[in-house]
Amino acid sequence: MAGRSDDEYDYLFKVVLIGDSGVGKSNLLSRFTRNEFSLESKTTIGVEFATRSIVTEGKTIKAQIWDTAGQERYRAITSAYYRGAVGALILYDIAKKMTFENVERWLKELRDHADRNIVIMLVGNKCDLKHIRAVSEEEGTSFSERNKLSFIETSALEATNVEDAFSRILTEIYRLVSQQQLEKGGTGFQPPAEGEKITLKNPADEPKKKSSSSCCST
Amino acid sequence: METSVESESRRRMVSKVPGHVRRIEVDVNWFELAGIADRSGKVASYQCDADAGIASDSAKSAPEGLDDAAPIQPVQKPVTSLVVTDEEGADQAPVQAQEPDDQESQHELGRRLEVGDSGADHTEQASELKSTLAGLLGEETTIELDKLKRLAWKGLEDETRPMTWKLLLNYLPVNASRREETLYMKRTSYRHAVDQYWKASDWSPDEEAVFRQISVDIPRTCPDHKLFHVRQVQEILQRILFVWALKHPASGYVQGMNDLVSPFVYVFLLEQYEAKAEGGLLSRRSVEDAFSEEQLFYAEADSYWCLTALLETIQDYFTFSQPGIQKRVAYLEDFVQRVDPALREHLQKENLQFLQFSFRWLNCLLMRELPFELMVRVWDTYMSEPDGFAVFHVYVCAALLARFSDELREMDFQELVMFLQNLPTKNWTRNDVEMLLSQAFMWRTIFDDKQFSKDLK
Ligand SMILES: Nc1nc2c(ncn2[C@@H]2O[C@H](COP(=O)(O)OP(=O)(O)O)[C@@H](O)[C@H]2O)c(=O)[nH]1
Ligand SMILES: [Mg+2]
Repeated sequence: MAGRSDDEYDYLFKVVLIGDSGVGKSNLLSRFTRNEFSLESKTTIGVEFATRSIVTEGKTIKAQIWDTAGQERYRAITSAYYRGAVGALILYDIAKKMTFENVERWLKELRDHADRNIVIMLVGNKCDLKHIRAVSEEEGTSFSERNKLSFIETSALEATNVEDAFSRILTEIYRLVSQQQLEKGGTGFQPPAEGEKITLKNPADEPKKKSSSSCCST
Repeated sequence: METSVESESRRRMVSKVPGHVRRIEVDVNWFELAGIADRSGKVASYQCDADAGIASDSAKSAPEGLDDAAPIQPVQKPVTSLVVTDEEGADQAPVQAQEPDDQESQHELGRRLEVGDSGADHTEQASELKSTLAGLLGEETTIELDKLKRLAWKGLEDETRPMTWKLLLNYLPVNASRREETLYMKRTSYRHAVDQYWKASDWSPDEEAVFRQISVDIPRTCPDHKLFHVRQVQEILQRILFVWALKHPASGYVQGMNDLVSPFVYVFLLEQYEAKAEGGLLSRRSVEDAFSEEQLFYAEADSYWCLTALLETIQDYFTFSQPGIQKRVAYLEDFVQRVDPALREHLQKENLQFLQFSFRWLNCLLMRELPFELMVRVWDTYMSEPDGFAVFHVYVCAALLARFSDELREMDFQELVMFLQNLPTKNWTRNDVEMLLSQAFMWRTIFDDKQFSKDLK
């Protein structure tokens, strides 16, 4: 599955995807991690994740991106979902007004369950559906400015801005983290659950995994 | 690539709002449906061919003058040459096994359930089973449910499954003389429910929300299976789920129920299809050709009632915060600790919570983890077990996990999650699932009535 080289990284960031059911969370994830898109992907039940590494400012950052179901019913059991998350993408569907209106609720959910320093990005997905657009780009921009979020419009279908969205949020997290390291602690992120390996790893504290382990496999 | 994506998007069912219908036609080759049906019954039909002295290949080559794009499927499987009615055989079925009081008898149990090593034994057993079952279903007075369960436990075939499922779920009465009337009444009552809920002119905002959620999920239901791309089939799923949700406000629609209704729709559509298929199967290429309106409705109503019966046995899976699932996940963990402590310890060491991977196993009753046709086979057993979906299923989950124990114990947290969210079961056969079922049966028999599984009921 994942090649050994995938395990060499300087930082491992846990990022969660949230937003109403059907806005394209699972497809945004599969587009970013496997360059795949499917009009008939299955509904997400419970929690899933996928990973991908990118290089930013000379550092290799491994993103562990978590995906979950959007239905309200599941939220009771997904609060552990937010534990240790350092970034969140809130998605809405630019062709469905209601999914944009619900962004407020998702923000509240983050405030209730996630670390208060979590980096949040608002994502207007399905921007390929221009002919049935129901939320203008300006609405997205002004909402995000009001709430101090970064903002981008994407299309998982056409692979528009998908790389950009993830690399922007990962870079933003990286800058925040390295700044905090300079300041030595202070209001840092809460350490995530032990063993879940979704820590904000300080390469000085913990040596990165070595590719030398690959000598045993093939 | 663009164009293929575009045409894909045209096939997508767009939401339907009363008085405002946007429909997109889907063309489906109904031979493929028949082909799927045939594959699961392969063992039996191959045996029959051999008996009749027909080379199995000859059935596959298309006679001249026929559309060569359409392979001929031996839909009707001859059983006449195999009239064996062996009651003894039925009695050996595992369900009524005695309490095993020592190791020896536990092994014995396992052995009896194991699918024979020799394929010949298996086919013989399968065809024998089939004809006994056919005899039983054809019973003109009253069907003995226990006997039916013992036979169905071992797995059904396409011909016997629809009626057996209806009987096992208590949708059809065992008394033959009451069946027609019951069917008529149930179907009529479903028709009224559709009129009342689905065709209502003014939905409340809550009902609108239920409709929206179901509509978003329908195109994402069993996408690997062509049948579920068909517009009419998607509408059937949509109506069933909507009516069920409105009639059961304590749980309403919960994502994953769409997976649970699909086996019923598949099995009962196939029943209607086979009923009409006699004479002239080859010309039926469109949905309208393959089914009359009435037949589609029958399959829909039957699916609705069977789904209702199934969900009744697992109500607390879907009520608020899904306590039934949480309880079973906890039990699963305890149980794995008993039967495979090394695995449980490893998962614990890696900090993998059982909820993380087994939530879906329970919520979708494994529909997501194994190939569709095999799950239909697994459900044969679930329906034949006492508390199949509520208790036995948990043992099957444990067996599934234990099956991959060696691999799992070598993995770290991330590898575990990735592996468990996409189990390598794509190429599994009926044998593989029957092994799981035997294992689960053994455990269920040993641990049943002990404090452990008691509170699951
Ligand atoms: N046109 C278009 N459709 C999309 C896009 N992303 C996802 N979809 C479709 O929207 C539906 C829901 O997507 P999914 O990823 O399952 O949504 P989720 O519930 O948020 O995970 C699927 O049919 C996708 O194919 C996109 O960027 N453009
Ligand atoms: Mg999803």
